[in-house]
Amino acid sequence: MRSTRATTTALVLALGLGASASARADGELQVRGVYYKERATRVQQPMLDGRFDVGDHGTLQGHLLVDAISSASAVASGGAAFDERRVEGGLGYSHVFGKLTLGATARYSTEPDYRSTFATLRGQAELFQRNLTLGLTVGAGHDQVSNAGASDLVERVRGTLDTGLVSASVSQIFGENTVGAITYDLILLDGFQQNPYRRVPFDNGAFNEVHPDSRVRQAAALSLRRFVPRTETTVIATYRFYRDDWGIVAHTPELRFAQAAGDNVVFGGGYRFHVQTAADFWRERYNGLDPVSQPLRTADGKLADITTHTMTAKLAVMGATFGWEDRWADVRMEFILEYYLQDDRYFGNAGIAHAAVTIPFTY
Amino acid sequence: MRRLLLSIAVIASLSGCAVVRPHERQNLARREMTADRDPGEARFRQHQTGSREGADGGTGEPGGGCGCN
Repeated sequence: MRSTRATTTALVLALGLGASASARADGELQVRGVYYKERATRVQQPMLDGRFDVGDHGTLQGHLLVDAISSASAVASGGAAFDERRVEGGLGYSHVFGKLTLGATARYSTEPDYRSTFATLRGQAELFQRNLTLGLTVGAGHDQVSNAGASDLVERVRGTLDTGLVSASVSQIFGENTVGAITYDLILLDGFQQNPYRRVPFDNGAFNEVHPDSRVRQAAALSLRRFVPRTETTVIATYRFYRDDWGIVAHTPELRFAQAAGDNVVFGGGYRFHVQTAADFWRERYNGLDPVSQPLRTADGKLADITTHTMTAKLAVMGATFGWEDRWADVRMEFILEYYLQDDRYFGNAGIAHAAVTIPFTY
Repeated sequence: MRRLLLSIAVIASLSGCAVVRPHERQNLARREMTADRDPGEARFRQHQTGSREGADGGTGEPGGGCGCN
């Protein structure tokens, strides 16, 4: 925990020092805490996000989070309860060159049995009096995985996973109150993709999970946002289509609304539906099958045919509501409650709660 | 893929007939109309769904980054 505190302090100082070169600029800091609970797993995730203007055209962003995971899940851990901590940090910088914005991000995540590094480059062009925005992101990542949490009696497993990302987006203003966007993501994975702890039960014993080494994932998402001035309501509709070469096809529509109640309070809600087919090599049961004839085998619930329903309620309150003045009037407090209903046989339903405070500042 | 490129082309072609000038963008600048989810909320959501569903992506952001598989 001490190292986490030190890292947080270092990040804040680094971001602050990096930003102090400019005379007067704006920024904001957000502290968020998330509590996640499903049948066999609890996650507590404190996180810190910072955004700082650098000069007239630059923006520096950073985040730091800790995932504290407690699980008694036979699915995730291969039968043993575990407590694990993951630390993730990220930095990004973007610069505006007239109608063109260029940026880069880097992210590093570490936990006892997994390390991940990912970097992206992004370009964005605003055209037709900034009514049309085109974006392109390319990224690459390298992960290292092991079964370091297994007992000493278990054979050591190590693997690497390389990831490539290409994302193209188009955003178009359709009027004074309407904006739409399309995003297409192509994700290429190559390397170790199974869980190093999970075992797949056959009649003659349990065998290690084996997934294909490569995976090509494609997702296209549409979104439409409309503001209704008369009621001060914002309606957001999204739809994502997903398919990969493991045989999973998924449809994910979502509808959200945000309702202003005066100048300083916004409440909202949403519903998300997700349905997917199973991976080609996923089986409900492997009983009666010969493991030799099943070189690809999985006990991963994510690869099953799944339907989920997610309900969200959200409340955001500005500091001015409480009579706070000056910069404190713009402090934003946010509370989110979410319930995640999944029909699968593995994880069960989940409840999620967020609380966040965003503090704007000038320096 | 072909349909997606066609959709992008259609949206791009619409840009000439729907010009909204800067002084008309008061409502478009509202927080809910730009990004109703803060980065932290979006990041957690992608992490959560990515560890429970077989589908990912469509956000332009890299998912994964953890041993949640």
